[in-house]
Amino acid sequence: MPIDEHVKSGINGSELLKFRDGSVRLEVDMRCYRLSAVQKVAYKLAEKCTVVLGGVDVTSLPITFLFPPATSEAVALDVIRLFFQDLLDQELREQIAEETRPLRALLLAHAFSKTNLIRRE
Amino acid sequence: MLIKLSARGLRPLSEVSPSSFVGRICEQPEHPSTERATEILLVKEPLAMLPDGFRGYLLHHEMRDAGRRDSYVLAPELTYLAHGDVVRVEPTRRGLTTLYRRTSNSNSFLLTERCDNFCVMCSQPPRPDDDLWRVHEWMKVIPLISPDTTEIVFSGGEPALLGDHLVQLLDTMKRVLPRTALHVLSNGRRFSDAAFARSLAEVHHPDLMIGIPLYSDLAEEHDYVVQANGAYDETVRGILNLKRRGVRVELRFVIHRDTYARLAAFAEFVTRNLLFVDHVALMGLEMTGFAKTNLDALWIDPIEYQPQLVEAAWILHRAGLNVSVYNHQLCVLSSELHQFARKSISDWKNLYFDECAACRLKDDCGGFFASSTVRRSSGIAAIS
Amino acid sequence: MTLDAPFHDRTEYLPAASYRLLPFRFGRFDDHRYLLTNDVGEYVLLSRNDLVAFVEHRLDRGDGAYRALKSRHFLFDERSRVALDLLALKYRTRAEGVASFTGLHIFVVTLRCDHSCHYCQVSRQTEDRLHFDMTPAHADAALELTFRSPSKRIKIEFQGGEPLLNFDLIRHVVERGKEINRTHRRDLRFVIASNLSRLSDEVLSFCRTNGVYLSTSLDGPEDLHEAQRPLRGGHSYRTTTDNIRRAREALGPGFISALMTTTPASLMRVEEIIDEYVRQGFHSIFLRNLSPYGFAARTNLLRRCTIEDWIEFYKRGLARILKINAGGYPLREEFTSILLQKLFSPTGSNYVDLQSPAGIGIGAIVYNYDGSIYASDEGRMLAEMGDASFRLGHLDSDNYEKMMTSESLLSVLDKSMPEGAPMCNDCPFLPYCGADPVFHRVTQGDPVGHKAFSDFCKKQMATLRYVIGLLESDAGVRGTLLQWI
Repeated sequence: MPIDEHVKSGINGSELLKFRDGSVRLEVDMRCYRLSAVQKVAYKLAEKCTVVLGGVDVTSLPITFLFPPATSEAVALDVIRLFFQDLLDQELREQIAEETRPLRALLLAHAFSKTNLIRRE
Repeated sequence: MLIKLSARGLRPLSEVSPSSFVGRICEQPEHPSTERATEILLVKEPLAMLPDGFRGYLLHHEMRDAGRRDSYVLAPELTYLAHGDVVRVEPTRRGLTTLYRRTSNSNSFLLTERCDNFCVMCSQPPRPDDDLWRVHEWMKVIPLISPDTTEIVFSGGEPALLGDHLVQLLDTMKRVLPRTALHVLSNGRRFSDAAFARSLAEVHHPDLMIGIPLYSDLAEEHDYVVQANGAYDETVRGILNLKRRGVRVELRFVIHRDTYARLAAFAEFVTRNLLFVDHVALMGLEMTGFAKTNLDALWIDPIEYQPQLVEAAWILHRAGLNVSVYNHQLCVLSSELHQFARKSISDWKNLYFDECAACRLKDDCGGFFASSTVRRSSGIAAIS
Repeated sequence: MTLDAPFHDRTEYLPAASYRLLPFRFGRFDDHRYLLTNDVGEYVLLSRNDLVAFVEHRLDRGDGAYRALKSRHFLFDERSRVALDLLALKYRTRAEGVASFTGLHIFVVTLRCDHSCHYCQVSRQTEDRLHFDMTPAHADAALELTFRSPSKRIKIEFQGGEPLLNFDLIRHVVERGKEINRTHRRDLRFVIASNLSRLSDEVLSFCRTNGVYLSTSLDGPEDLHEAQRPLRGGHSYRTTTDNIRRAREALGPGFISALMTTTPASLMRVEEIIDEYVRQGFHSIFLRNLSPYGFAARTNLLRRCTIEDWIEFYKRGLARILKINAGGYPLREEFTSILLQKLFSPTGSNYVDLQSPAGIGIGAIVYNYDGSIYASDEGRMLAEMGDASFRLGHLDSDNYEKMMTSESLLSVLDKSMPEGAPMCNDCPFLPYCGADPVFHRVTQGDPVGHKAFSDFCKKQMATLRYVIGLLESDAGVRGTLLQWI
């Protein structure tokens, strides 16, 4: 799946992702993504690479992607693409969770309130 | 055997009562004289004299000097009447309506013509008038019914609109006819009132099932078919309330052009959300009432929706639900559905076409509604 | 075609123009689609465009996606709130199962065995050491604890070593169990997991009289079975297959089943193994994965096959099985059936290794030959490897309450629940998955584990993805699979 426009605009610094010494460094615009989303995606990709998060301020979070030895540049860039696709998905998840959290609480309360069970004979 | 349940076929031979009355057909002139007040003597062979004390007399043949009040000659279309049947004699219009037939495979009591739905295919179009007199009449009829009757159906209109009267009817049925199963056809909406569902359940009728139509997995589709906004929500809540109280519930789905497309989606919805229902009936269209009025819009040849019907029936069956297919003929049904097909059509409106005489499966097949002559499936053919 | 007055057309009955989201999870399914699931296990596959449109409230109420999502309770509109009643009811139904806990009770009646299977999970002892048998006193204590479970269905499974080497104790437990059950009236079943080498007529007769089930091991065609499951004196395959036939004749086909164990050698031969099951007249086969316990771990068998190898094995096996079904021979794959139950049954599946909360203690309890009690079969194997964290107590010293409410059991159940675990709590496969705290403790050192490194997670995601894909791809295949539920 191609990286869409939103992703491209969220990557500060150089348009090219430089793969050097088995790592890639870039900066993520924190006006576009939540920190919790970045952390969750980093966790999920832990087998493919180690994600080191730097100091975060309002606009910028430096990230270093460390790849296992003998990882090719092509594979590394694929992982980065996956990282940003997953980041978009994670943002969507957080949005959904915010919107549906009260309803889930309501449903659970209703489910376990004192009402008669319906038994199937 | 087609029968006219209501006809203006009485020719009075004597003085008649000013208003309608109910009675049970009796073929025995020597019936004990103390027990004749609710019996109507059926005279098939001429008698020299009509014995006194019966509520009325129905004769197959002309008789001079009948000498008893409410004596009538029966028109030929009413000579099917037999011992144990219960009728309403309507002297003013010279008519008779059969309310109960002892030998029928299906006895249905119309409790009211009022209804809070307005289904596009309704076979018994609603009328808004207050007709509580029907309930009072049925209360008189019930004690006259044979206790060996297997099943009675309560229908309408919408029986639940009768509220406590319905509860009382159920209670009467339980006391007077404890061995008779009771099948109540209702749209279920009034049972969204949990207190009402509870009072019905608390009758503890020994063999009760409520048959509730549900036409889709989507509220908008169901509400369109029944022509009432909010009906779906009330119906589903009604089903849940009844099941919470241990009342047996059957879902009924009528298949026509506006419902067939979501048959499989409906079936999956039932297996996910209503798995505790006791029966699901997938039903062919009866082309009377509004179904006939709207036939051009609603008609679809059943052979065209077989794939959807097969899928739905198997989704339900695999989930462990009891499934039946009603009002379809074996030649029209896919063979995978034969195990679910039932002989569901009431005898008095049941017929077979000419080509059925040569059919190998005729005895197992439920045949057609009398109204099926209006439009026929192209799939009708004798199976050799 | 529209209807005339007094009937209205559909515009009179439309849902509200806007809709509200109900709770759901989602994730990438394949190159084109996303999988959405809700807490009660319903699913929808959507393109990413539709997913985003859905979340951004841009779906039109006439769209196919809108209708599919509404029907399965991913969205609702204000004009029909009964969706909330139905959804709450489903939440309740799904949770109810937890209250009737511990359906499976495993009695390890002896550690003695006459086979030397290379992958054996149990440190088997050779036949002539009698103090590796369970005592009648311990068996009675174990039976008492068994009937303390609230579950209406109770299955007592006899394992070993080779359980038939202590047949007297099996007889005692069956008879005593049935006696106790006269007051309890549970649905009580007995299974003997045996290599069948000791299947005497006396044993068969007892099984027939008492309705006892037999479960045996059949690893594949003769050469594979012989190589993996050597019997002292030889002829392991012939003994097994002859006895399968005898059992089937004496007890009926429904009372004898077989399980395979997957080894590196099996991985390349899945079709032959399946064909062997057909040849032996079985209608069910379980494509199991290699477990990391016991002798298998110690002899480093794991290094020789990866989870990807196993996934390939599973897919090829399932393809073969579906083909056999299409040819008219009914053959069900058990792991797939478990996944299908989780996908479609309102109460899910009771397979102990795929539960949330985990099946340890509340799915199964193991009473070992020496009187110690474990929270699962794997928990016992872990103890043999030196880690006793899943030991619940001992029949001589611990009562039921102490065992089942111990902090170690409860905190593991709590911590390992997918609903609370990183990655799991966002995963669309969550309603179809479960916790395996013992596996994660063995492979990663803690009961929760880091799922990005978890073979369990990889296996679950790959198999669920594959099965859902099959269900969506072909009506015939879907029909066959749904018959397995």
